[in-house]
Amino acid sequence: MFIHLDIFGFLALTIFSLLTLVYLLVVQVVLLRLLHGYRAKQKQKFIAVWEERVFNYLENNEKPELLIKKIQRRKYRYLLHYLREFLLMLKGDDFDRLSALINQTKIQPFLISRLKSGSPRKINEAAYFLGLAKSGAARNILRKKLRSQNASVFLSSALALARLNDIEVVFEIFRNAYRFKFVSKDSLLVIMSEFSSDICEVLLQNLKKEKNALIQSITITLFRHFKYYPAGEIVLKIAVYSQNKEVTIESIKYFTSIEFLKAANALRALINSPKAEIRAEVLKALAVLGDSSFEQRIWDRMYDSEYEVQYNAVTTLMILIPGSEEKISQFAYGNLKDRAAAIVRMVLSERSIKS
Amino acid sequence: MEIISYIVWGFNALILFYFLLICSIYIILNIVAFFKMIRYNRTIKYLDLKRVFKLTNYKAISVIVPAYNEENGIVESLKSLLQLEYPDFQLVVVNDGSTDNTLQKLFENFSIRQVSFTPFYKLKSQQIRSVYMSSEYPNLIVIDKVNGGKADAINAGINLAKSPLIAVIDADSVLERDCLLKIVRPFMEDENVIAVGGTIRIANGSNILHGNIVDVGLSKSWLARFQVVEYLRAFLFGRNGFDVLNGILIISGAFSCFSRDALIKIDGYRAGCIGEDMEIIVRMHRKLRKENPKLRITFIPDPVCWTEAPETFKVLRSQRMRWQKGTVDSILLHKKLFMNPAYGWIGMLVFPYFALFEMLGPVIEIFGYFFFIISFSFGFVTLSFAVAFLTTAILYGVVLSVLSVILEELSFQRYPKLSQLLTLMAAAFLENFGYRQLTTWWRFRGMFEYFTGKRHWGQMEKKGFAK
Repeated sequence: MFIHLDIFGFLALTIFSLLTLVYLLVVQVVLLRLLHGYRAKQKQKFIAVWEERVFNYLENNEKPELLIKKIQRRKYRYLLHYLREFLLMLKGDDFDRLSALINQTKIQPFLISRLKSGSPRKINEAAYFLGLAKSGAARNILRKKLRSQNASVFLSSALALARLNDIEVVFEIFRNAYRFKFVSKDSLLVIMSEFSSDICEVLLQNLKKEKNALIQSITITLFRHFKYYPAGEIVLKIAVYSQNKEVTIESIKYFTSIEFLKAANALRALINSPKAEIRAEVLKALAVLGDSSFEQRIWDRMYDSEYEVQYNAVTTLMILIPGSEEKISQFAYGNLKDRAAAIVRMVLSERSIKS
Repeated sequence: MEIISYIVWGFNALILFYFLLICSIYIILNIVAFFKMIRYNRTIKYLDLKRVFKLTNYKAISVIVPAYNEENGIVESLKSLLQLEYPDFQLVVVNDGSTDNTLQKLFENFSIRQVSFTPFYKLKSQQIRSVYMSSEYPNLIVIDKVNGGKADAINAGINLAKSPLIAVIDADSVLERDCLLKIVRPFMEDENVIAVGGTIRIANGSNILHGNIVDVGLSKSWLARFQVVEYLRAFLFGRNGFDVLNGILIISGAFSCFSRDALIKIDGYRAGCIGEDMEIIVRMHRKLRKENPKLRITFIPDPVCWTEAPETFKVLRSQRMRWQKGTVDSILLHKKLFMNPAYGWIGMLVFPYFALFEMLGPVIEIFGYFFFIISFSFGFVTLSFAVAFLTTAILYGVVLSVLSVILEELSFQRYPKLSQLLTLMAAAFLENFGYRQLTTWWRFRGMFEYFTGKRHWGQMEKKGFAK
């Protein structure tokens, strides 16, 4: 039997079909939730049993493959998620023993097979755990995954390679990161900071010719993170000539962290930068790197238009110039109508409460 | 008679087209938001945000909390806010001339002492009486000022805020502990970002202890449950979808974050405005993005803030009428944006969408329903048209509401129990049979009051969180 439908009937039918489709989705979502709940319970049960076994394994000399033999393949993921926090926190022998549970057992081929799968979810998870366990066997596959068109696959592979301290791929990571809108400076920093401090030497050689401000900024941040002193001279040149605010600020922070006294002269020029954030950072740095020859320049900054700069000027003067507190008070309370003096009064008032 | 019949049919068809269009726009937004959220979640899944902040040049934030007669909740709220996870933030509480013991409570609980002060900026606000700092919490500042309303209080807070980023929150908002870490990320990633909003959720029925959400739950009141679905729809796919076009026209006043320079450039909040949270965003588009189209006003889908929803018809009606007045006010104030190609997507698509569907929507819908009933009663429309009309006006809405619950389940899954999920599904279905029409009616009344001169703010009673 054929039913004749006019345009309105057809419209109503379409929406009814859409509604039916949505309710099928609802059923699927509910089923997924039930499955999720079931798995959560299974995981709880698993952990209740395995918590003690893992601790016994760490204390005794049990072979990893003997322990893993007791787990069904489908429950490997429960163990991996249980181990996650420990693998992140532990170092030394305990880390080696735990990572052996992955690297010297059937879990490693299990993860590598997932790494080779087509599903980004499976790849991300496998890459994460293989990296966490520093599983060298996955290195070549992970390197190939850096060329993936999927941002999350790229990120998880890069993170895993960083944990494997595969320094050869550092610049491939930078190059590939540009393909993705979602890969930001902080994502790259998280990845790069997972390498060992050996990365600094490679980055330093690159910094000498690097023109990209983002890579310069990340590199200098990493030097600060690893407190890498040998880069001081090169970073100083960059700090003086860079037009990029982030690069300059990162450089100043780096000089402060390694107490690079040679940077003091460069700071003399930057103290008058048109960018308030740079002026504020310079004043903070001068508390560590400056000397009494900066006194007048710092006083001038008391009249700055930005509060943060004024605040740092007062604080730095107090640290750098012995006995300056009295002079500052005289300035603050001797010029009651002056705006700069009013700000200094505020800073002093805040400091007195904080102390 | 035939001509009348054609006119009536034509008008009904137009209304039907209106419903079809608005729901289809929502479906498109839903699809766009779905893919955006999948990408967002996958990208940040394995990133440890707290670690990043130790490394990078993070920006300090001043969190401004305007408070008017908040003596019952202010202490708990501030204690919770002081525990937010962020390396460098300042809490600026603005006591907006409260007539109760709000200031006294702050004296008693936070050891505040008067300090010398000078405003750094000159945004218009009522007179500041005194500024206090806490000796116990060095990052807490209290401003006591003459009453001037929420926008005025925020301006006073901005004038004394030290940080380059300004977050504005309601005193009774419950924030997620890591909300600042999340909301600041867009500013760090892109220096063109000038404002960021996050998802607001309904806290009714949840277990809140010392200003923190302990267990996410659902209220027993269906009115609150309907609002949960409404919020999911508005935030998860409404704002997420518009964000793809850089077309966010409203960031909730319950929690928003701005670049201080941008706020200063546009002279801060507009005092006396009914919907100040929408007005400021529209003004940012109008004044700042015209100068520099690269600037971004963006949105993060993470739930960052929980708020109390009205559970009585009276309070809900008052809230919706006020929101509608705010929408109308903001749209009329900035009507220059309408179909103005100089403003790109905002002028040509997003602003007209707001004008047509958000501002005029209630009028079109109320007249549409009314006209349809009359036409059907007098036999001007066929049965198939009637079925199509009701299907589009109601069942299409069901599709959208249910999709928003599915989107929540596939992304954040904040409602842990299966029974909660099923209740939300039921609410998504039921809200389309009466509740949605009722809120449309209130919005219609809000518009009517706006144009008849009743533009006052109205009272918003809140029950408060039990613990």
